[in-house]
Amino acid sequence: MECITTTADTNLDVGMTREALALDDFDALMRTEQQRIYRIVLTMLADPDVAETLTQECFLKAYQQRSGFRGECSPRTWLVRIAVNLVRDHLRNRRWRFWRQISGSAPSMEPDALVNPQASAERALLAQEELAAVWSAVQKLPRQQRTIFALRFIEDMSLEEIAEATSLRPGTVKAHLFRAVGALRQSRQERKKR
Amino acid sequence: MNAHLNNEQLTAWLLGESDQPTAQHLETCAACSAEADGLRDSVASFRTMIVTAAERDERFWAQQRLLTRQRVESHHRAPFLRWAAALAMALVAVAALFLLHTPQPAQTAKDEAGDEALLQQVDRDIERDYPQALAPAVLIDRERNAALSAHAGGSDVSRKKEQQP
Repeated sequence: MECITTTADTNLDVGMTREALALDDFDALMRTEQQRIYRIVLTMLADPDVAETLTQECFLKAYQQRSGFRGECSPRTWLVRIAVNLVRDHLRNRRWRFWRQISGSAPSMEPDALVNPQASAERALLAQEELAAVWSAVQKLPRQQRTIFALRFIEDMSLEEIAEATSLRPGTVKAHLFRAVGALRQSRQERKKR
Repeated sequence: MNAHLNNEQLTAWLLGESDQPTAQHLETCAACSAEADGLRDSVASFRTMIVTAAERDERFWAQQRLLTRQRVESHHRAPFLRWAAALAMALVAVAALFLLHTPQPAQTAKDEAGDEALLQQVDRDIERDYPQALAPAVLIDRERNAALSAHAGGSDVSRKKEQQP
């Protein structure tokens, strides 16, 4: 039986300092990390338009705050921290909350569209159900659990990197991960009972 | 280990950090093994779904970089504009303070005499029987009344003369 082994992709120099974050180098950093940041924001908010805006905002903020980056963590972790904070601020925004309330839920992507169209009808239906259930379970997680779940299982970040990015202790990160996996497990069990 | 795996043990297994008893339990317990496999597949499905959903063509990323660079460059220019705006506001504030706190010119004796004359004039106007503006009309009215009286007096005299034998 195989388990998911995760190793964070570290092709960026961890020792990259603020001197290295000149505009040209910043462009290279953007090229390397923009997809990851977009993916993280998309997972958190399930809204491609907002994800696009917040990804730009993340890099702009990183550029503005580059003098505060002392190379204590990798530029990637630093960027993820900025993105996580931007998502948190965005969710705190009253207007956003208001629109969420009147629309009933956050804008959601359609998991149906992601199933392989060449699969048999029965398999496609099962895959759709599976995706919809997982998506729904993850979307119901509290923000911090969802962030940690995404950073670990989608972005392959280590618990220490997640702790740095979320300003939490590794033990707390692990506890959030236990709860997130527990919620996913419960959702699977409820689906089996039906 | 007889009890089924709990969330912590299953999470540790998903993270590739499971201990020996957990690994042994998974080899012997079909229920936990199925549960672990199912969870792993769910996580993998979720990951695939997100990665697929976030896939964009190179044009999209190039556009993102361009827009971000534009915002960074406008941020470069912004300090000058911010300083200019701050300076303008400071000047306006100083000017407003200056105007508010400029001492009013001291009242001279001439001004005081003028004020006094004005007040007396107002008093006189209040005490008048008619407003000063209507003085010509009053004068005309008086003249007219006097003329009428004189005319009426003359008529009476001639009438008396006619009545005398």
